Amino acid sequence: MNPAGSIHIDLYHCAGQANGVNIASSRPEAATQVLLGKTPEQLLDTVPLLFTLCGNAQSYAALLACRAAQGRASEPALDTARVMLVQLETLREHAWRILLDWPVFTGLAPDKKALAALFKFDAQFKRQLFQDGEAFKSDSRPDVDGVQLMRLIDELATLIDAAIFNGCMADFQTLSTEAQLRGWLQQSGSLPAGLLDYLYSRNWAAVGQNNVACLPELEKDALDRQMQQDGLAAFVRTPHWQGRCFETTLLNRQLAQPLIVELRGRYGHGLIVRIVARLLEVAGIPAQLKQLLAQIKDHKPTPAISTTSAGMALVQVQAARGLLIHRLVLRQGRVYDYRIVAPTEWNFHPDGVVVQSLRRLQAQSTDDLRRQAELLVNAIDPCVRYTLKLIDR
Amino acid sequence: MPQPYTPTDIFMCLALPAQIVALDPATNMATASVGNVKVEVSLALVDDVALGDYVLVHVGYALNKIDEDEALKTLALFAEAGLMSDV
Repeated sequence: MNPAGSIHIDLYHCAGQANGVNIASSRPEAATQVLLGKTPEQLLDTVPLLFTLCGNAQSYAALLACRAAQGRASEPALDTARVMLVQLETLREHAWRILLDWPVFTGLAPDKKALAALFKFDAQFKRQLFQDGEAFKSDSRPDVDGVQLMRLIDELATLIDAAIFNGCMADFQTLSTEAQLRGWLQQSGSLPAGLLDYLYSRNWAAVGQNNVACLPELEKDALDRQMQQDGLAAFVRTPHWQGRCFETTLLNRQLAQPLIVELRGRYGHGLIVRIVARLLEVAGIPAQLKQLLAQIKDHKPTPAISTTSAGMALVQVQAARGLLIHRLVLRQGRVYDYRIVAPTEWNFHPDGVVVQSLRRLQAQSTDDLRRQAELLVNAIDPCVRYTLKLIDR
Repeated sequence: MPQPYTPTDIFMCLALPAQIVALDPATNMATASVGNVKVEVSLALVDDVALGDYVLVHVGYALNKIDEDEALKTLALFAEAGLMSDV
């Protein structure tokens, strides 16, 4: 038994032409069971031990859920600081794909040194935002050093500019058309340019197009009704919205970018759109962090959504891989029910975006089919071990 | 190709602590133990890992060191959830 679970993808094909997909998973649904019976304080101690990879997003969602279920007042400045930590985590997760995975697709060596440097920022940000670096406790106290944080954000921007964009990040952020993108690819000499050039050269820019829409904003009461109507366990396992499957990835957050608008018009949700969207999100995070830092001083509200009703809370947080939902029911001060819907559940749903994308692959050979499928799964990015098996039929 | 995700991996961001039982400084690799299961992990993303340290492992990389107390608490949580039957 793999305690963390895994996804198994069977891709059926004939000489590289896909003709069926099956996704199966072994999923440890018991993980949230250990939260039952705990007090909110115990819950907040436990969540970061269980959920490590997107620990900031998970811890933030749990904190918001506890607060809402207990009817406690919001903490705008502290929450803005917590959103900064979720953004930083998002950058780290994207950088993992870009620096370790993308080079391998084009025959280059992964850049472990830059990613190792990125990993160190989380603890430094926490120390400069919160007393003792404790960010996700109900009694966390702010201790914001604005000067040090600005220095850290600048260091972070310099690091990703050099490691990912080869010093051309500012130019990348000005791109609004595909023609400009192609010009940038010729000049930047960056690591992502290698992958994008590869997609263009293979005529794979549109590979993975599908009809699964990006998940719209979910109205909290309607979402709770849907979860209860489906049955909570069923919704957590195979979530849908109004009878349809939806995608929730980083792409949802980049749809309004002019470059994405143009690329989607030409390539749908093909590989090139997903690759460029990841780069746009990465490039925009240092500026986002500066905006959030400014907001801490102004105490502006943060975008996370929560609701409370008689000890129940439903929270939505944008994590690196998409929408993260936590639903908590407290009774007599202890956890009576706890549900987590991770973005991977939406995206690797048996009829979801990965299945629909893979099903349409029409490659020239079995090797090309495998390469396309691996690129797609990597772009949609599960937070779980997966295996991909090609079956000729 | 990027390696398919390996054991001691993550679902919904779950990760098990693993204890370092052997080090190979020449390759910056280590053997880590989770219960009865041993996995090879890269130490490229963490500093100063020594024999006996606990690390969190994801797709073949040690992500960060954690102290023994935290590691044992986490392992107890996974055991409580029934997720440690074969490891």
